[in-house]
Amino acid sequence: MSDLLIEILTEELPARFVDNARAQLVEHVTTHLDESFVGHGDVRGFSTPRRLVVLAQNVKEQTDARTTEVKGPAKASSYDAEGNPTPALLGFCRGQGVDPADTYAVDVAGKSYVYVRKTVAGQKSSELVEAFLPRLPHEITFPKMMHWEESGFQFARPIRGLLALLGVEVLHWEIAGVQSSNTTFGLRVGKPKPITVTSPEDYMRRLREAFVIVDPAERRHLIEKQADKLLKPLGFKLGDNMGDLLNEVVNLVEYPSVFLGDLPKTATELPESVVRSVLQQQMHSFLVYDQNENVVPHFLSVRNGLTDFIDTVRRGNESVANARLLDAAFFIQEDMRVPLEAYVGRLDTLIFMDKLGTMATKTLRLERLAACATVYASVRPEEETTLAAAVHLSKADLATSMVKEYTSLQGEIGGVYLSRAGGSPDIVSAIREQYMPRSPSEDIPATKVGRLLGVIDKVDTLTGILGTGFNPSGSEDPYGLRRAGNGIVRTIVESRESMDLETLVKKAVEGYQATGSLPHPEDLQQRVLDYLKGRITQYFKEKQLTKEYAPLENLPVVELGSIPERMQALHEAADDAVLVTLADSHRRIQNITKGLPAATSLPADLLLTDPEELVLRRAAEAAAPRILLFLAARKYPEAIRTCEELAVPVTAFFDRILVMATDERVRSARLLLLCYLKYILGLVCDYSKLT
Amino acid sequence: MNFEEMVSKLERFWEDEGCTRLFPYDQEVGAGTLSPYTFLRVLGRKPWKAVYVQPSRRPADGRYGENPNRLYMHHQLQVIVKPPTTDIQDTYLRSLYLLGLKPAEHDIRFVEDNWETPVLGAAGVGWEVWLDGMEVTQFTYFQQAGGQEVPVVAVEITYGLERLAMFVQEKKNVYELEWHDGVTYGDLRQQVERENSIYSFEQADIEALVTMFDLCEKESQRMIDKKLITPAYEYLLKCSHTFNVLDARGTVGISQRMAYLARVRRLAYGCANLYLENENHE
Repeated sequence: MSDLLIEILTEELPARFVDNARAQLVEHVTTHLDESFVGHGDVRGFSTPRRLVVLAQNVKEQTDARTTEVKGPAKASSYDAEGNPTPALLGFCRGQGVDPADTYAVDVAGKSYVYVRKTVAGQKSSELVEAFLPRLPHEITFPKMMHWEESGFQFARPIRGLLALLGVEVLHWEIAGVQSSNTTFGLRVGKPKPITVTSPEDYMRRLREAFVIVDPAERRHLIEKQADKLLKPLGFKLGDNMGDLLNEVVNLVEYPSVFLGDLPKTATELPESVVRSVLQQQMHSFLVYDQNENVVPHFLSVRNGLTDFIDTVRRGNESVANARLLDAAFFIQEDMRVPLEAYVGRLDTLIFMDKLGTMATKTLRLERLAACATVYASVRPEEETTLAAAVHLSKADLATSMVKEYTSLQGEIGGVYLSRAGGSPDIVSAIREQYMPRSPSEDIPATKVGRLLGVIDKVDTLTGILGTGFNPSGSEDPYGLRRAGNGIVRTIVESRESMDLETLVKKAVEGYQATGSLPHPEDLQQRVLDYLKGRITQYFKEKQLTKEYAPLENLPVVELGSIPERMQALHEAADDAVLVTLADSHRRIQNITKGLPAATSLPADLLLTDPEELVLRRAAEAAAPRILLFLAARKYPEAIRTCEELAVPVTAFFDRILVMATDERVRSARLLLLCYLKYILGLVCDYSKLT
Repeated sequence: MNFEEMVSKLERFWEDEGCTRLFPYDQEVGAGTLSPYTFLRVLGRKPWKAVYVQPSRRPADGRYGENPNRLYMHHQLQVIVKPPTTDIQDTYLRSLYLLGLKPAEHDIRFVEDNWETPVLGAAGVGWEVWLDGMEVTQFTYFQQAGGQEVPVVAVEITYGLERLAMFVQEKKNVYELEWHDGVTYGDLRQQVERENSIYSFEQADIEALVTMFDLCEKESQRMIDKKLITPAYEYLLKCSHTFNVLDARGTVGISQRMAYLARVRRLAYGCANLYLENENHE
């Protein structure tokens, strides 16, 4: 047994692609080994910005001999009337190298087929691996691909080397004009010198000597350790939530050397968000904090390479940071010569989105939506006032030099300018929070008005994009549709605040009609709500709550904010023995009333005469108003318990009563009773979906 | 190393790599990419290797000669290698060696940056090259030009000469760069920067420029109809620069802006199609 090592050497891959590509490579290599019946141990992936590597341990030299069954033609077409083999059967046998006498028949889905059993001799693993190697690069996909040579082969960046070793055996393959070899390259330091490797272990050792650490986990650990060593003695630390940036930096270097740089004094006078943006987004460097969570005038950065000459690297980075921060300070000073309000007037020079008018018209639409907030949300008068003021200024910062230069600071800069000009803290927070959550890891807005502003802004965006006729599909999200949808869902679910999305979306559609026209207004309200429904399902799927969400899936979208509490109540009731009966009852009710609408009133008493139907009618009459009250008070455990009281009478009803009575009036009365139950139970959840 | 020395070293380096050394194109352009030496030559299948300095005007970036980093006009050194050699990245790194910038003594990185010029229907995939944190070069594999996928990929290497010189000469202010011994960048350029900023932000005659744009567009289209690529493209460049001045002047409304860009793009597609037609005839 020996190890199998495969390396695809490339020009620098985008950091954001590397982790996923490595995982794909591991998956494909494992599948190919398994499908070729090559026995193997662990399969591990490694990567640097310039290479994707996989190491499969303990690969057997040969596959075991095995028998396999091969399906041939249908038996009916394999023999003629005299029982002699037909050309179809003879052809099949010739192809498989067997005698027709050695075949046998097997029934497959009611039809008889001819089969042969064959022995496949053991094969050399190296040949089987060589057979799948050229397919590997084709199988890895990236969000953005390119071509660079005449075959037109697509990858994230050009491939410049291929290497595969099974033990000491060099395997041969070729892709996009690149021939495999037994050489690779180390860190770019001097003139590039090929490194010859003789085995997988030798590869790891030689690369380390050439200043390449192929294991991203090890690079990550090294960065953390070096950072700690620099910061601890000074009493400094990195901020929280540095995970994403750290992942990125790990994929930007082959050999990390951490250094601490100095920032100018300006840095501590600038808003933290600005300094963060300059350092983290533009320079892939880390902000540094003291123990009281204050930014200190230093930054931590990671060099790709050794510590030799690291002072030169540090000075270079310092002067870039310095120039950028001074630039930012200058922009802020210039921007603040006029109040934020002044920028509202300049929004007609900024396009919102192609075919969707300017930011000025967007602001107008948001103001309309804010003005009728009480129609779709529970808002206190003072919140209404704050919302109106915040909406008016919400997009103003898009016209400032600072946001034009640092687009990711939208919202933040508006908040900073307003706050420095002495604006009300409530309005400031709402403006700052409107774009949250910008990523799955970011929180939803902390303030009520921030959440309202965020949701109406996103609903407006979603409505507009779907109104242009854009059809969301595939993994790309070019207009940020998915982010907007997810933001709305998360804000409502996680705040548990009720919001009537149906009405809000209707108002948003009206807003577009009032401020201009949309290319595709047909069924727009429904399309937006359907899209949101899809995002809700996806949200619970990602939380691994698909099963728990199933009974709540059919609730109107208006109820979104109550779903977590309902879920919790169902979870607590899960051990109630009667819940199983109730689930069964609900299912039977749904089956028998299929196609009939839920009824919001009970049938007249007169038509129901049998005891079981009278008992059920009375039970429903007694339960309904309580269920409605509990729902209004968001007391879901109580609502469920009340529903449970109906389980026994429903079962008795189904046991004794023939719903489909011959007397048509009796039949409709019984169906109506069940339709009423369907209505009242459905207000809480769909019990039939409980598992 | 002064500015002119740095430029000649780089030019000589790429000449030795087989590139034809050209003079800057004698018209206002926003970037080296707009020069016909790039835009037209990356189309089609014919190989092409060239190096040239291209002064690039971006009227909206003008700062009256007062900002240490921002300029109305900066200088790019443009290298086109079509089709790219397999060691093109290493070749580029060797060119930095000549300026005394060795990978072992610095942190030189290729950081993802994909570039797009919608006005030309051109797009590419590549990196910005960071030198100790400062972007000094744009390195791009052309994928599309004139709105179509390129049949043979070209690599475009664009050195930001001022940035690079500031690094090499350790200057924090562009106007303090030594252009020639004893002659600074400021001596040569500061007054020009000031005047051009005043012109494009305050003095440009909007009505005249709008008329000029219309006239140049018409002339470019007329030449496209006559199948004369060079004059058609040269009038397109005039349109492009005229629009850039109007844009800096701050008078172009948002929907107008899109319309202007679409008009230039239409001309660019027209020129690109003619160029390809010609190549197919050969």
